[in-house]
Amino acid sequence: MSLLTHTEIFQEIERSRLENRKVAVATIVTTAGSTPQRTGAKLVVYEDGRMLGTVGGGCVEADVWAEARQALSENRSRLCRFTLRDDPDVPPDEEGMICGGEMEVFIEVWGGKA
Amino acid sequence: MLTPNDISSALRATLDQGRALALISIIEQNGHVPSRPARLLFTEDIGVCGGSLGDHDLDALAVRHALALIRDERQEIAVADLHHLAESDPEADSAALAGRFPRMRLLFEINRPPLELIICGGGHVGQAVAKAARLLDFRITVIDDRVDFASREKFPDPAVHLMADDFIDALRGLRITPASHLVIVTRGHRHDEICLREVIASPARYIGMIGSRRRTTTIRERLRREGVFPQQLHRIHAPIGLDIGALTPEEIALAIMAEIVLVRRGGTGLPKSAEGPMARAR
Repeated sequence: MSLLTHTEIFQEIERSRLENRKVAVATIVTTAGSTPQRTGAKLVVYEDGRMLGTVGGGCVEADVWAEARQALSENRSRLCRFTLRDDPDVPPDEEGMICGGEMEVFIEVWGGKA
Repeated sequence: MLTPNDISSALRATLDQGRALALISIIEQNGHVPSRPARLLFTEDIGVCGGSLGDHDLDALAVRHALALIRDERQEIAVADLHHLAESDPEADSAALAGRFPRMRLLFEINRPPLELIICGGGHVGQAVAKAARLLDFRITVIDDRVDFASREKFPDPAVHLMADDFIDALRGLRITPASHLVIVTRGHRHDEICLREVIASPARYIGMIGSRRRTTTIRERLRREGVFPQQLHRIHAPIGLDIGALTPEEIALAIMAEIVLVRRGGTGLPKSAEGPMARAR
């Protein structure tokens, strides 16, 4: 899966700016422990909820999307910390898949009035 | 304040020239996330090419860290606490900076140009290298002066750029940048040497040439006698590739691509099991 390049992201932000629309850009800036996410991955979220790009899928993507929409409605950039924890009562499955990582996501709001 | 258009233009301009661009943003200040983060753009050769973090000393500190990240090719994104940065930077007045900008964190994003692979020679090895390099996301150009070899029949992947042309003319027509990697695997050492001479002074990240140790030593010696700088001779990887006992064209391609990864990312080229308890057990 190919991630969005920075050039594509900023072209998209510029396009939205010309149409007077706000966008939020979420970037995974740090990860620790075991996460399927990759730092640097970016997700663009529009006010109507559409998205472009990916921060690696999974349930975290939905959480990032929700935070980005919140940031858009407040018109403020934010830094979110996510803990990816499975149910502590359930042992790791036979493949040893555990997901106990943490990550920080920077969500920047572009457009609109600061 | 930088507009998105400023940033995308700067990105395009630098990446086109095969250079990396650092995007530096303040993501936390006084423990708060700024609503519209201050931002600075920096490239190794031009220096600051847009924006500011709002303070001269802060910009200078950030630029020095960005430069270190750009030079370390394993780094793509990093978050740093200002007081850590200032403390580990001998040129910074760390106490003053930390006092003026408490609880500040900076985000560094390093944008690197797409990797480019230029293969001189469309024979069996060249064809295998093109396949292996696609796996690693290289943009590939193949040069061969034989039309039948720089052809879609030999290189069915439509993403591979083909140049059926004289080697020298083709190489002169390409822009060789620090993002370029050259693999010289023509049908014979005469053409290999012609290609090598053409690119030896280029800013390419990697230059490798196929051939036996004896043959490549002869060519290197000849170039040395003609006055080619030792630094330029040292950076030539010839014979090309890591020693993994490769015999078939596909194996040779793997050895070449492994060497290119090694050059970019750093490493020993040894088996990971060469150290530690397993090594003793063997």
